[in-house]
Amino acid sequence: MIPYGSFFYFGLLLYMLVAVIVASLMQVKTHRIVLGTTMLMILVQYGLAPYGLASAPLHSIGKVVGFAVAQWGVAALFLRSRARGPNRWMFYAAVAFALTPLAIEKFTGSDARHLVAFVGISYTTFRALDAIFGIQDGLIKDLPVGEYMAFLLFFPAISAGPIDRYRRFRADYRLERGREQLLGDLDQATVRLFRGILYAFVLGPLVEFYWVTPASQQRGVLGIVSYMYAYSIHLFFDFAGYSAFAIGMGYVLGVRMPENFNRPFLAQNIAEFWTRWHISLSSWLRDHVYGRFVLAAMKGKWFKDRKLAGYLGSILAFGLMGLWHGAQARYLCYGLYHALLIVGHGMMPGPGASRLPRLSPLAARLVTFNLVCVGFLIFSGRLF
Amino acid sequence: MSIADEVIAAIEAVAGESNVGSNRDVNLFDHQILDSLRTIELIVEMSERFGVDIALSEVDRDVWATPNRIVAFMEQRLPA
Repeated sequence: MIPYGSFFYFGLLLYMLVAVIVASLMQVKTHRIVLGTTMLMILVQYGLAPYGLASAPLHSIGKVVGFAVAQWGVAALFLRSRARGPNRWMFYAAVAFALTPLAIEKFTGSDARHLVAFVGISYTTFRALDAIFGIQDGLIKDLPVGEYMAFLLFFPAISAGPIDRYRRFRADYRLERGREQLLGDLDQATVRLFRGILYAFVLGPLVEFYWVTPASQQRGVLGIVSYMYAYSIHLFFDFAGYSAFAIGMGYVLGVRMPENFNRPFLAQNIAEFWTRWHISLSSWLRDHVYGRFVLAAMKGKWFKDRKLAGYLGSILAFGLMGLWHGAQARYLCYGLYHALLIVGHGMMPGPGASRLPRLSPLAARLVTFNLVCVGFLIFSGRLF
Repeated sequence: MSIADEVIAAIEAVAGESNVGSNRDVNLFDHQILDSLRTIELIVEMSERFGVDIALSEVDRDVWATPNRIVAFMEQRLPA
């Protein structure tokens, strides 16, 4: 059953919500609530369809559980090795093993794919990698199996993000919530659940029905331009809506995940856009791909010009961002398009140094918005 | 030089600005004194100046938001 995909699912959530609130008021520990509900909802999300069993429920649940156990095994073995001191090759091996199921899912034929694919494999893989990086940096020194499973499979965010970080998650997981904190969390949850309904169930479908669908049948350049804006705006409402559901449910359980969207279309340049759109993915890539690459390049003095290391890091991070969505050419092009924009932005002379007049904030927003929409047009697959 | 002075000097060296010390509670990211690239340059710079290995995942934009917070981070990080 797709999370947040049917009234039936929301009905089940409602029962769970009541149980969680009662349990929280009775001082049941946060980690028990989070782990219990996550295990239960994994069974529901992968084993049930609305009003019945999913097709091959045991197979679906088995894949998810098998994936999680394998990831825990890799992380636990790597932790043991790391305790004896840093070893670059063990680190690379751990990253490669953690990435293997996702790589099979994205890049192989249907037979092998069928064995590993499940809804949420991209998000869970990136969470598993976050733990590996934390272990490598010596910041994660123990890995309780329950805590790790709850982090990896945390059900509100398994299919649509945000991508939480292990050390951040652990702090919430171990926290005992008082009554005040519970009420504060429920406040936050309510705002987000209603925002989710507004975005994902009202505004998104309205844009889709009255704009995306007609524009998708309209031919010619005008049709493509109209579709570009329609698709971009619909994507925002849909994605931000489901993120709001996930973050809201997280608050109910006492897990305060980071925001995933912050009014992205108000960004005044492309770098700022990526601090406002799918924030948990872009910050993950910034820290774990861009940052690691540039840091290694600077320490190893790979390039004379430090800016060059930054540009190459951007191309690497955004290329990977594209591929993370899928192996199709359009996703890679989407990533490289944004890499180009970011590098171009980085090459522009700073404020005051340029002979060109500075754009007003409104003009800067318009330019950025249009550049971003062109990216989503590539992403949408309408062009190729 | 005290830890605080050394940190301020490192930020100024990386950012190419010389008045970071005047307001030590300024948000370095909001005012575009630091960005992704300069943050990493600062890690390298401080690792060299203080002779400690700072891992990237120790640093996030909250922990390093202002000069004062970076000073606090380094004071905690350095053996007394």
